[in-house]
Amino acid sequence: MVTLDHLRATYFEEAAELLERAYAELAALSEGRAGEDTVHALFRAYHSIKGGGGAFGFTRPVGLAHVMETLLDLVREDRITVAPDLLALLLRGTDMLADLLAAERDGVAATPGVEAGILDALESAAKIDHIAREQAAPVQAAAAIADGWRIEFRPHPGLFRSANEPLHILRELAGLGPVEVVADPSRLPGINRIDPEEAYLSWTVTLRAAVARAQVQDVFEFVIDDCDLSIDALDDATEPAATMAERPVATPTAEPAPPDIAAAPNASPLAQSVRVDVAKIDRLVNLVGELVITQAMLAQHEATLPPDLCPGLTRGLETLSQHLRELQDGVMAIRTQPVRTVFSRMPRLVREVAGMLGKDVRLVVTGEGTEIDKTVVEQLADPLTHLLRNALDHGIEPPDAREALGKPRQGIIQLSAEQRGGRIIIEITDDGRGIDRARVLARARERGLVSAEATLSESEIDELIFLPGFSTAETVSAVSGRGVGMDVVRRNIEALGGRIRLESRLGHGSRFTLTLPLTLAVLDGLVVSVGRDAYILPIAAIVESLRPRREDVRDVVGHGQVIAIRGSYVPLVPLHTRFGVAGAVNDYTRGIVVIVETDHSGQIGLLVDDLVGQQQVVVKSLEANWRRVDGIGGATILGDGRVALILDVAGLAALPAVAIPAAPPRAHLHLH
Amino acid sequence: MTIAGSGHGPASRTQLPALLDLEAADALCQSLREALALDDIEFDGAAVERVATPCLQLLLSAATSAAGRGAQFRITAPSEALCTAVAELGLSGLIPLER
Repeated sequence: MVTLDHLRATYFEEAAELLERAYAELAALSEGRAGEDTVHALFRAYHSIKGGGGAFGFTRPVGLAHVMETLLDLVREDRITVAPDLLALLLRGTDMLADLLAAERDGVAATPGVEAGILDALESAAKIDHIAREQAAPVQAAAAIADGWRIEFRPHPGLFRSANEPLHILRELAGLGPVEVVADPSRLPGINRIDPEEAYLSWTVTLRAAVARAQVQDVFEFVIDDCDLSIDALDDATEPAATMAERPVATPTAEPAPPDIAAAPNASPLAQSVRVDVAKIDRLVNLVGELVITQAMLAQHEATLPPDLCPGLTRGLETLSQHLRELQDGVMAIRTQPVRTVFSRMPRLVREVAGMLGKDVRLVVTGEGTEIDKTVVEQLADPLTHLLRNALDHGIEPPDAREALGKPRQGIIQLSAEQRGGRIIIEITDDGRGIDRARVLARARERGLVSAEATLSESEIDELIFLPGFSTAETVSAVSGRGVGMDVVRRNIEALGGRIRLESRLGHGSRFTLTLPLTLAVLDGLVVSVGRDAYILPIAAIVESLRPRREDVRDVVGHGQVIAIRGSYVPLVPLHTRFGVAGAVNDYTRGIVVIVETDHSGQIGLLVDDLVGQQQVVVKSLEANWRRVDGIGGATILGDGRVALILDVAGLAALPAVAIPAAPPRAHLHLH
Repeated sequence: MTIAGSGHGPASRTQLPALLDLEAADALCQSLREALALDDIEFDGAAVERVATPCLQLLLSAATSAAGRGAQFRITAPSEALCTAVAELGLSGLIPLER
């Protein structure tokens, strides 16, 4: 049952997408990347926000969207050129529209008259050019009044399916004045070939009434995407036959659509996408996860059978495994979303914060089409907002200071996304002042985070800013100090299975690199055994595995043991000492050392009893089901039904050793 | 939808239902195909209360198909609603209504 609340929720979801689209098109315009459809797309975005909002009685956003749409209409007709000040105005208008919609969504009344200023500015922008160019194109104007109109209305085949009814439209036109309606049945097939739900008829309507073009357009407001339409002043159409042949059918007041657009999939009566509840997709993801587990179980049983006992079964299981892999990729792809959905909010943030701080900053966004799991996308907004605020507040210098340093007055912040292997890399780079390591170290000493004697490398000092308690009152400002430190940013990113790294050059700027998994639901893992327990190591982190000789391992005072590999030394971490597992191999010459790469501690060597095998595992969240455990990224169910913990490689390096129980019947986990 | 036939003979006379909206289009199309496969056809349009374009499109298509085969297609006693809709859609000369 579709309720009004459900429809409202859908409208706000769609409005958010339309706003994103509008921001993207505005960015394209300002960067000179505008294509032929840019202005049309922008017009349609405001138009659709207006149309849907009207149905719910959201008068304020609808009023604003209407003015913006009118302005865009003038741009479409080439009666206003897109100058930087107009773009700035449209951006401000879009920001305000987003605010008004958010207020409606949250049921909060927006401050009365808050949009008055922007409305005035938009209206006068429309009017100035309106007057200036009225003489040049009097007939095309939306406000133009003619003695009558000749309207060609040709529905697309899918018009009825979108709940539109030509009878209502023709009745509404008849309400404007006397009409002559001529139907064109030339596309109508015979009764045996007709599809009863497709629209085949088209109409030519002659309306003899002195009304504005806009009034005629309004009649077609809700079918604009489902038909070809042309509206011509009657005195304009003295030679209807010739006009028809020469003039391509176009949307109202639009430039004639170029042929490639007319033939594009837009014309298809079928929708190109379906809106699906995320809960339904998650159910599918979970089910596929269970299938993966069952398949692993079957494969395990199959391995114990004599190879030639049942060759058909073996082949079948192989095929099943392949198909399952494809099914899984397909289902995961449904969950992915372009990072655009979160990136598109950032230009506004940068504009507003830069304005507040009196800084001149240009945000360059690339790779916004990169796709990543929807959950990751949603949870990226906070960390990205924080990092950008930081870059604006602490990174980019004020214009005068930049000039004095010989830098351009305008600072640049780059926000980029790209896929590398199975990970998504997001970078935030600024060309500001960079990290002053001497100051960072001094503050860390003041705060007691580092002892006075300790000597730290540059990268170790950079790590300090991620420590809880580093962000101090001194650095808190209205912009970046909101009680959230970089430690929270790091924690958020790590909760997503990601890593954050900082590189910086004093005087030249900083770069934060976020490395995120493509999906949170499944990973390729190596099953290792430690005592009677099984753990999963993410394959992506593994460099190699080896059995060290006695002479390869050295004791380092205060740092435990290291293992020499081709001339370099890697810290050795016996896994059983970290989780207090009894009965595990303690002698590294009898166990296996798996060398793994961590983001901030370099390589470490994990001592395990044995390698069991490689398999895909379905990640079950430990936090969602119990609580967070340091060094553990999640849990999974193995083919034999046992639960195995998935190791968080980066967290392991920092994990201290714990006491190992004497001889418990069952090894268990020590928590921190 | 059922279209009630009133006898066997060279021309079958059937009654159009009260609702000729989008939901009714599929059933109407099926009935028209069956009726036209048999013989000349005459519809009684007196009961029609509500009409939508998809159904009028079907009636026009059936009328054209019948004419193409030299068969007869008539709608007798059309209701006010049917007449108005046919006129409003500019189909007056195309769908044969016999008042």
